[in-house]
Formats: sequence, C-alpha cells, structure tokens
Amino acid sequence: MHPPLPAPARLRYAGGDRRLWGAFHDGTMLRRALLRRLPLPSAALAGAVALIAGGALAQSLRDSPTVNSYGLPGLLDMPTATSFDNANVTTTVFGFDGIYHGTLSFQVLPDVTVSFRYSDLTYQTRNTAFEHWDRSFDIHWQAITEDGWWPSVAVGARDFIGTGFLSGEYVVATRHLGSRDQVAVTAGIGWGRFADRNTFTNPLGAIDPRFETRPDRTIGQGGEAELDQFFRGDAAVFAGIEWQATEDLRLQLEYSNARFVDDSLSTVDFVIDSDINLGLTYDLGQWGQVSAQYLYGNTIALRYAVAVNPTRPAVPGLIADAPIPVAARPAPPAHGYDRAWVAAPGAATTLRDAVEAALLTDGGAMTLVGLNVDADRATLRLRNLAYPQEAMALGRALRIMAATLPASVEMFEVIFVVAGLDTSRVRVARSDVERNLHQASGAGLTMALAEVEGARVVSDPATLEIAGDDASRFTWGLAPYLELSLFDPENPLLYDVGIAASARFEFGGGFVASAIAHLPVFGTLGEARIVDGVQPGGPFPVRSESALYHQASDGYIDHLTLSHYATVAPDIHTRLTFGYLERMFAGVSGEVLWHPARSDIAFGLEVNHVWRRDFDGGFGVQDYDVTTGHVSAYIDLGNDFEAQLDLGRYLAGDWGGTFALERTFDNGWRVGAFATLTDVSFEEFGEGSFDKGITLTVPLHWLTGTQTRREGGGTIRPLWRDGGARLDVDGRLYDLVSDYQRPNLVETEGTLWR
Amino acid sequence: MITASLRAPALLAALTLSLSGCIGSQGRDLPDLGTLRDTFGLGGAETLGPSALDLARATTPQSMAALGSDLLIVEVPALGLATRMVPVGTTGGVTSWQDDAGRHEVALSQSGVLRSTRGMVADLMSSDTGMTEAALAARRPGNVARVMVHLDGELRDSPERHLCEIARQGDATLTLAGRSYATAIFRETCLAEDDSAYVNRYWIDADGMIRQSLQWISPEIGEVRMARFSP
Repeated sequence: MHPPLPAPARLRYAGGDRRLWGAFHDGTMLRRALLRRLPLPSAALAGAVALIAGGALAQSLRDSPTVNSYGLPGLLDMPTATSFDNANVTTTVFGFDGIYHGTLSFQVLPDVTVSFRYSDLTYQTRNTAFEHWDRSFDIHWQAITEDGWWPSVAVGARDFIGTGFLSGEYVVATRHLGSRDQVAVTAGIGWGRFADRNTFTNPLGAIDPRFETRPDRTIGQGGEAELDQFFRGDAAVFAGIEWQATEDLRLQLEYSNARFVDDSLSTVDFVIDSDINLGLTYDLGQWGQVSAQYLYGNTIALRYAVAVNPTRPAVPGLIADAPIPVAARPAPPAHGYDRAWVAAPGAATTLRDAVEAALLTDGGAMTLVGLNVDADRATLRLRNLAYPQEAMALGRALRIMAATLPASVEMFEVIFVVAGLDTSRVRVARSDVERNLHQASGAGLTMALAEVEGARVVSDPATLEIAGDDASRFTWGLAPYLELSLFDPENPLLYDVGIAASARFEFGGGFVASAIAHLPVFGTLGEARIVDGVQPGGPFPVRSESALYHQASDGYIDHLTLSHYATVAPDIHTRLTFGYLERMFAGVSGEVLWHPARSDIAFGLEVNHVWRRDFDGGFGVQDYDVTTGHVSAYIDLGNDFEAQLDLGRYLAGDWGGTFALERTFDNGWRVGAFATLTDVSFEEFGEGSFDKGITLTVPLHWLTGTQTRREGGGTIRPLWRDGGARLDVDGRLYDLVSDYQRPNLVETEGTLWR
Repeated sequence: MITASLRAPALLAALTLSLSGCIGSQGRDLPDLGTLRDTFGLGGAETLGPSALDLARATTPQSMAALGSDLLIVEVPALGLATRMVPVGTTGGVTSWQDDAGRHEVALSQSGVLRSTRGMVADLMSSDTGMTEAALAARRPGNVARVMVHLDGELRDSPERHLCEIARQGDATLTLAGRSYATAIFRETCLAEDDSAYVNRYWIDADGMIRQSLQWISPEIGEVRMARFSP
C-alpha cells in the first residue's frame, strides 16, 4: 500500500507567452484528482498536533512501539527497551485525577530519545490541595538491539534536570516473541522514584558501597542535573508484557514498584492499592495512539500520543509548474560564437527584458537586482523570495541564464542578495549545465563542479551593467498574530491575538529600515504573573518583568530600526542596527561575521549598547542601560548536527556562555536545545537555576508542498528569568548569509534541477 | 508499481464516444477510434479517459502540418492530467517536452524513453536508462538495469538501481494523425528496491522511435502514457 496522494492544488499559470502553436484549442485539461485527499489537519497545523506521516497500516510492536504515559517508548508508566523512528517528534498527553503530563519527545538519534515534559500535579491532603506545575527532561538510550536470543537493553533517566518530582533512573530489557512480534516481554530495574516499594539493596553496591545510598535531592531551585544521584539508593524491579491483540489494539500489563510523587509530600494521600497496572492502546494510524488504563488498583487514566516525522512531509512532492527548459547551444562555428553582440545598440535593454520575462515565467519567485555581462561571463544578482531550498533558486537562476544569454557567454555566476548583501558568488560553467542537467544525480555532479566563493574575490564583468528594478524595495503587511506565553507558574497557557503591522524598506547601499507594531485585540497575556521582582543580590530583572510589559501596553512597537549591512572584505560582513531593537530594549547593535564560502565554521562578534524600554511599548526608555556582546562560533558538525557557542556578556551584566545544539534536516526542519551558564549563581537565578530551552523550526512548504520560505516554530523555555538573557535583535548576519554558502547549497543540492 | 485507474465514469464516456463515433464517423480525417482505444492500453481494460481521446481525435494530419513539429499526447491518470506537449529544448541528448502553459514536463531520450518529469508533484528527478535504450534500439530482449532518482523526504537525491527484464510482446499497427506505423511491442518488467514491481510498455516503429508507451514515474504517481505524433 502506498501513502495517500495529495489532491493537486491549483497549478500556477506560469505567465509569459508559452503558446507554441495556434492550430489547437487549449489542450490542457486538469480534472479533479481521483485520489484520497490528505486529512484536514495536514492543511492546518497548529502547534503541537501533527500527523504520523507514512502508511496507514498498523505496524508491529517492534517497528512502532507504544508511547508510554511519559512520552517515551514503553508500556504504561514503565519504559521498554525500544526506540521510536529516527527523528520522530511525539506529543503525548496523559492524565488522571489531578495528575496531568504533557510531553514533547524527540528521537534525536536512532537510539536516543529525549523529552521535555510539563506536568500539572495536584495533590490532595485532608485540608488543602497542593498544585504544582513541574517541568522535567528525560533521556532514554537503547544501548543494545535485540538479536537472536539477546534482548534489547536500554538505560534512561527520567526528570534528570528539574525539581525532581519524577526523578529516577532505570535499566530495562525487552524481548519480542512470535512470528510477527505480537508479544513483547519487558523487565527492568529502577532507582529513585522507580523504587518505592519492594526495594532491595542496590546491586551496584558491589562496585562501590556509595551506590547503596541515594543523597537527598536538594530540591533547591530545580534545574540542576543531580548527577551524583544517578543509579544510587535502593532499587526495585519492574516488568511488563504487551500483546498485539489485533492489528490496531494492544493490551498491556505492568508490574511496577514506582511512585511518581515527591517524598516531601509524604502527608499526601496518593494511594497505591496494587502494583499491577493494566492498559489497552488503540492505534489510530496517522492520528496517533489512544490508551485507557487502570492504574494502581484504583484509578482510570487516559493517554493520547501522536507523532510527526520531519523526513515524511505532509505533501510528498512539489506543487508547482515545470521549470524553464534548457536548450544546448548549437555547435560553435569555426571562428567561435559571435561576440559582437555586446557592442550592439540596445543589447542591455534586450537582455534585461529577456531576463525579467524569464523571471516572470519562472513564477516571480526571484527578482532581478542586477546583471553584469561581457562576452564570456555573466554575473546575475537575484533576490530569492520564495524558493525554500537555496540550491533550487540557484538552479532556476542557471536555467534563466541558459535561456537568455547569447551563446558566447560560457561562465555563469549567480549572487543572491539578502538585505543588500552579496552573500556569495556561485560560478558554474554553461557547458556543465548543458551536460549534467539530465544526468542521473546530475544535481550532485553540477554542485561538485560549481565554485562557491566570497562575492568580492573577483570583480564583476564590466562591459554591460544592467540594474533591475530591485535596487530599492518596499514591503509592508498587515496580518493577525498570536503571541503565546507558556509555563507561567500559575497559568500554563497565556495568549494574545491581535493585528501586526509591518513595513520594511531597503534603500539600497545596504540600508534597511524595518518596523513592526502590534495591537492586541483580545487575550490573557495581561494576567501574567510578575516573577519575583528584583532579588537582592540577584540580576536586574531584564526579562522576568515581562508581565509589566504585557500589562502596561495596549499596542506596542515591537521594533523600529535602521540597519546598515556591508561586506568589508571577502567573507567578512558587517551589520549596524540602531533604534528600538526589541520589545524591552532600544539602542545600538553592531556585528561582524566571518564566514568563508566553503567553510563549515564561521565566527562572529557582536557588541550592543542598549537601554531598557518603557513598559508601555512606546518611544520612552528607562534608566537601566547595559553594554552586552558576544563572540560566537557557528559550527557545522556534520551528520546533520549544528552547534553554536556564544561567550560574552548578557543583558543583566552577567558574563558567561551559551551552547546550542540543533539537529537539522535538509528540508528545513530544525530541532534543538540550548543552555546558558553565567556568573549568576543558581540561587541568584532563581527557579530553574539556569537558562535553557528547546528550539523548533518547521518549514511551511513541508506542510503545503508549495514554494514558500516561511517557517513556523519558536523557542520553548521552561522559565524566562534574568540570568543569561540575550538581546533579541532581528537580522543577525549568520541567518542571512549562511544559506548561500557552500555547505547549505550542498545540503539542498537534490533540488538544484527541480 | 502500476497505478491502474479504471474509472466507471471514464469507461462510460469512452463507450459513449465510441458509439457516437460509429454513428457520426466522418471518414478519412478522423483517426480510427478502434485503434485509438488500443493505442493507450491493452484491450479495453486501460483505455484513455475521454479528454485524452478527444485530444487524439483532434490531432489530424492538417493540424500536425500546421504545427510543424512532433507532438506528444500525455496522460497521467494519477493526476487526472491529459495534455499535449511539444519539444522545448534539447541538451545532453535529452529533449524536454512541455505543455502549452509550461505546467508539466517530460524529458525523453531521442528514441522516446522517459528520463525525467517535472510538475508532476512526485517527479522522477533524473535517471540512467542507457541499457534500456540500447536494448530497445537493437530490439533485443534480455535483462537490463536502470537507475531511477527521486527525492526522499528530506529532499535529497535518492538513486535506486532497478533490475528489469525486457520481453517482446508481439506487433501492432498504430494510426496516429492519419499515418500508419508498424510497431513492435516490448514489455519491461522492473523490480524496485522495496520489492515492488512495475511494468513499462513500448510500441516501437520501424525507425526505432517509440510511438506509444506507458512508463513508470514514481511510487506516488505511477505511470505516464504517451503517444507521439509526427507531421
């Protein structure tokens, strides 16, 4: 069975005069597709809910493990020694009377699952109800894969950075039985919260007696990984059995000695009447798994989990017109191709009109900034507005050049312009285009022969210089926006909906003016809690008073800036921005980036001097000002991982560093995490101990199959406090420039001739 | 993997057309409808939908003379597409054919073996069909291998090597735009890397030109059906 196919959307009319013969009526008839449409949510992804792409066939226990109540591969409360499909992003919600967990997990490596969980824990004592919103991180590693008689073995730590309500570690083994893996048997040992009853002395005590005791968790501010607790203290066993009863129904039975409640709440009536948990899970195919359970001998619980995989797009293809074809030049006459055309009167106008017409035929996804030609070489400057894969923009540019430039032009050069900057110069021989366009894997062949270098290494051809209309660009927009605040200790979800007005003007010469204003129409952000105010000895509340910004403004200027971009040397770009840089700060921001066109590493230096803005979001500033700045290293680690390291001074005047690691996908998906450590001590930082978070980027074209560079996603921070706070200024150089350097062009090269 | 697309409405329309054709046949200027039904399939099971038949019916010697170049009638059942294409550019020994609005493209070798497609959502990005072309040119049955390149979910080139067997399947006489071609029919049965199979069929005339074919594009889209008219 093959996956459902998309109904083709309206194919854009390419424009231009493509009528090649007049003797026929229009012969193209496109009828409604015969295929099943994609399910509705694929057309309207909103945050957490997504689809399992791929076949609707239910898969075996081994290929498609059950998602347990904590978002990891497992049974009910307990884990199993299995892994999700590589790169799966899974959302799980689970709850019963007073206890609710929402988990986002990611299969970051084929055998490593990580997760972030937000829990609402309400415990009833006789007199009071105690409600706690808890954030926790888990890691799960399937170290050994089932083979022959040997079971799979996994080791994991639950809630290893957090307040410790759910903390525990485990080692677990799972074995599948039956010709179709219908039965899975699991057994394991757990420590910490996994070992509440029927415990025994830690077997690891034979290695070192210190394993036999588990130090009390210093609950403190949470947010620290209490590594000295791992695998220590008494242990207990757990076990389970899972049976694939029908194609869609699984039954689970679990023996667990765990108690996921903090010890400090020992007065709380969280009663466990039985060590046996029972559950059944129903597979909804693309819509996920739903489960009903009978836990602890006294409670009924429900769970729902759904996954999306970045390598399985919602639309398995591209909904767009065919590209401009390439026709090889006729064989050259004995004395070579004619070169006199450069001097012909009107050559510049003719060429410019031809290129503009070709860009229009191509769908208007790119605009002409300039064209410099002589008889042998042409340099085309374009602005890429719509192609999400940069190599595809390059390929379309090469097609346009092959279709419009006279035969004597052998060397094609393409420069993509972003914010007035020449990002890089890509040089491809026309003969290579003609020869490799239709070769099997011709895209890779062409990119291997292409040269990518800084735009200033060689100068442009000078015989004919043609400017496009694009020299100055003005864009504006009026659109609704949604602003979310998550994990406020008293309100897990706060939101504002309103209208955003934006405008952007590129003057030319590298000057860019940009402004966005927000007018909230309705929402609950004004109810945000002010987090603890100014602590004595603590950092200045550069971020934790965000609630005051929400409360004091009806509409606000998000940013209002004038920037200047320049390239001062081959591979060295600069930016200078001043104005109202972000919602909370105004001032000056300057940056230098060194990013050689072929390099996997780039270095940057940024220095800012900013004043804290008034809470009302207008033009005023407050007394607080600070100089911040960072030295940054951007590293492509290979194997689809990228890292960024920033060292410097943050908004509260603290010194420290941030490390961010992202898993990237060639289609534009990015999933990552970051952590910042500064000289603000964990106590001074307050709850959470240090700044950390998860970043997620989802390209829109992955959902729609159309040509768009828009992306969705954002940063999820368990807490937004004042240590390690960085200025949020738009238009940083690395994001603008790195797309068109060689590493990214090679990553997206599959789409070169698309 | 073949996407068979027998649809009741299409079959009904084809029958209706054929009946009306019988009643209103104009004689020499219209192609023989019986041949047209056979033109795009085996027997009656895989007939063209009415729109592609209409295109074929309207392709007369006069219109071909006016066009002055070869013409393809192309049908992709999975997309509900039926269109005419003309050659728009040749490079590297491969000719691109596009429809009037430039929405869809097939790239064919000089003899007519499919090399790539564009605008068909899940396109065949590129391919190496040298062995198939050589076997068809020599009219020699046997085993060949072809390389088929599609994009995976991360938009990376994903080349696959498919092993195929070419067999002779008889002869047929085709009438296209009033010209008659004596063709040899070849069937190419290929095995994809996921163990699914697909079949390509070629009707090759005396000059080695593929006059009619059904060729596989991708698992999602299935096959493309083409008929080639010459002035």
